[in-house]
Amino acid sequence: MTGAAIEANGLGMTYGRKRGWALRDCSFRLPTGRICALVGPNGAGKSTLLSLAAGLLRPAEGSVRVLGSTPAEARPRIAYVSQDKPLYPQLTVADTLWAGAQLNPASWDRAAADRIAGVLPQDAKVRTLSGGQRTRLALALALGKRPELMLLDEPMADLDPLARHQLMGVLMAEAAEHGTTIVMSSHILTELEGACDYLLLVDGGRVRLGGESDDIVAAHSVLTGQARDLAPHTVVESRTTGRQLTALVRREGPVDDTAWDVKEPSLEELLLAHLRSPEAPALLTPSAHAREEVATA
Amino acid sequence: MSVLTPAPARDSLRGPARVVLRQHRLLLRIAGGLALATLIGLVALALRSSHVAEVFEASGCPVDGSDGNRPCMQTARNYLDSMSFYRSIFQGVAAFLTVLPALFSAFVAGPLIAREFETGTFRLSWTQSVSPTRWLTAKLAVPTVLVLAGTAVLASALRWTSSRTANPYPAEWHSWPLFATTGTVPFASLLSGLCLGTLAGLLIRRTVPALAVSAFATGAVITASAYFRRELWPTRTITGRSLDVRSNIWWVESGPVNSSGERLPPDLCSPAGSHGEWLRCMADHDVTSQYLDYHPASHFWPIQLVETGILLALAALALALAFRVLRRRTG
Amino acid sequence: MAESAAVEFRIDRRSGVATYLQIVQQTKQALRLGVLEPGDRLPTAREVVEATAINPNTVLKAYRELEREGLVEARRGLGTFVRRTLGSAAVTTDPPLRAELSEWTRRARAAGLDRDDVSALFTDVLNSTFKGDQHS
Repeated sequence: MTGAAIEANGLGMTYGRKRGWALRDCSFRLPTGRICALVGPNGAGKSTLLSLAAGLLRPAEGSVRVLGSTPAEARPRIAYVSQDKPLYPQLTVADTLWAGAQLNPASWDRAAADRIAGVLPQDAKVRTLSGGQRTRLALALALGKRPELMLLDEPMADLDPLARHQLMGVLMAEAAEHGTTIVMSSHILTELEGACDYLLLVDGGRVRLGGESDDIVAAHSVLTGQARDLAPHTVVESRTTGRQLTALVRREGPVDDTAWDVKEPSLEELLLAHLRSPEAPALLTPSAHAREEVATA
Repeated sequence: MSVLTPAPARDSLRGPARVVLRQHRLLLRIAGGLALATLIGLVALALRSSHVAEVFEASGCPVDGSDGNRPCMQTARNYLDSMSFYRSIFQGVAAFLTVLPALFSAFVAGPLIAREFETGTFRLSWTQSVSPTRWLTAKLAVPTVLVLAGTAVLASALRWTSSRTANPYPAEWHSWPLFATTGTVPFASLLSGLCLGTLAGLLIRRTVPALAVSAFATGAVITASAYFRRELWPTRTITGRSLDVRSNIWWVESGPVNSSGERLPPDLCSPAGSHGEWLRCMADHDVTSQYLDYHPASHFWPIQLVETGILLALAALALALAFRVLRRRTG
Repeated sequence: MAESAAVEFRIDRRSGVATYLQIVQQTKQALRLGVLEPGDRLPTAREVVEATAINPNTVLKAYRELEREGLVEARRGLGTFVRRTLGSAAVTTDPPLRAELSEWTRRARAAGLDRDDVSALFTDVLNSTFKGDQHS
């Protein structure tokens, strides 16, 4: 059994009683070595989940374990890039990379950082950099740390298509060479689709889908045919036009393909269907099930 | 799976300490420059004032100009004016050193800590290999060492300088800026400012409010400790018909005592009226003698140490709370 | 680093064909056309993903597929190498087949079919001939 990069058990977070739960009752497991897309609409709890895993927040309930230990213990082995790409504004690019080396003396890899920060003007102050350049520098710091797990919150948002392709390539190369687990959040799936092989759909503070993207897609079908009962399948979304019914279902047993026109949904169709139907039950593939019992502390 | 063995504490503090130094390079240079300028100014002033004193001594004129010689009176007046001016400069520097803890506290709370939260860079700092606790320790250690060292240098320079200009305006040991800038109290004040600033920065998390609150809180602590200083050690008392006022004492309170030994209010009989009225008033209240509560110069160290103890206890409390806040917030 | 790899993959996200299949097909195409020859090294997973920004496991999956078909072999620590060619004899060194197709195409054109018609007809015949041979 491969270890878990992230394992959450009944994880919940609230930023104060009045503001409700940002994340509630989340249990899932992300195996190591995966490139995981953390998707969901704005405000779904993606950033909260990443902050909890990075040890920046303490859970209000439940627990999260990272690389087999607490987020605090795993700190030297995790890299995290927050959505707003915070950097020390008064330092130069060169100073920032130097600071990365100072703050991660055990693992710092200058070459890895330079691979993407090399094109930046080294003597420019961070506060003068553009959004894309800041992203580049923030990712360089994360890569230079040579982590086992990278938690990237909306990493590609500020990048032009060319830089996006290049940086994604560097991240994938890192994963190919070192088996790094990468979690990338986005509310735009297409940004991540080719790169990720694992999926976590977070919506309304809950994990709705979790597992290998291929398996998740394969578990669903789009059925088109005359309107009638869809049992025993779990209906995620259905639409009736006249006598014709189109439904996205989670198959529970074989589908009668004489009665239905059966088609495999695209990942995007699948996600949109789940987002439009908040009542659809969650699906976690076997590898995404949390192994530990909920700690009753 | 590789488990990193924790690096020795000293090593893991060195990195963040270097980063803090570079982050606040500009401010450190300005502060260092100002401290150096003050130091040079103090030395120059000491040399200048001892020169003025020597010249005056060489003139042979009495300080009070009592021989009625007009030119000599002018010389004495000029001498006294200069010396009083120099004294006020020393007092000014001393006063600055007394309020330094409040400024330091504001710096720690605002630019050093709260700004990290305001700009979100704490998310960067806390996800490097050093824990938030080490990050905070390094962040505090660097400016603290520098400001303590700077204060030590400036306070001893000040003491040396004022010893050269003690006449004709000697500073009394218990006077406000002098007491708070000698001994151990200035360092304890700085540490309490540091810790209050840390707590304020971690709790408030916004630069300007954190800066204001911590400056105010530390200012209040400095003022309170100056105000209650005389209460920190039991006073000595003398009683008698006429009080033998010793030199170099800290006069705390004096007043009349009646024949049964009871202390009466100090303003019992107004000295504003005639001497006869005053005597009658004293007789009416059966005043037999006067009392005086005071601190002799030997109380300097006991008061210093008690005050230091209180300030350090406050600092320790604030620091413990600050680290607790930090640990509760992070996973 | 060994000498540079002999092919480069181009991934089309919108083609609707699974990414790993695109790699498999492009490798086979290169084998057929003689661009890849036995002993050639395929690009490493790292090289492929750095250039295409796709998931490394996708590349490994494609290479496993090629390995399963006996077209390539992985040599530990060295890379993945081509073992044999794929019908390249028929494509490049069988002039009769090519000549027959050319002849047929000329006749189709003479019969008034345009390029798209010819292509559609060819694909249709291709599909019915190879029905069942597709990857499942």
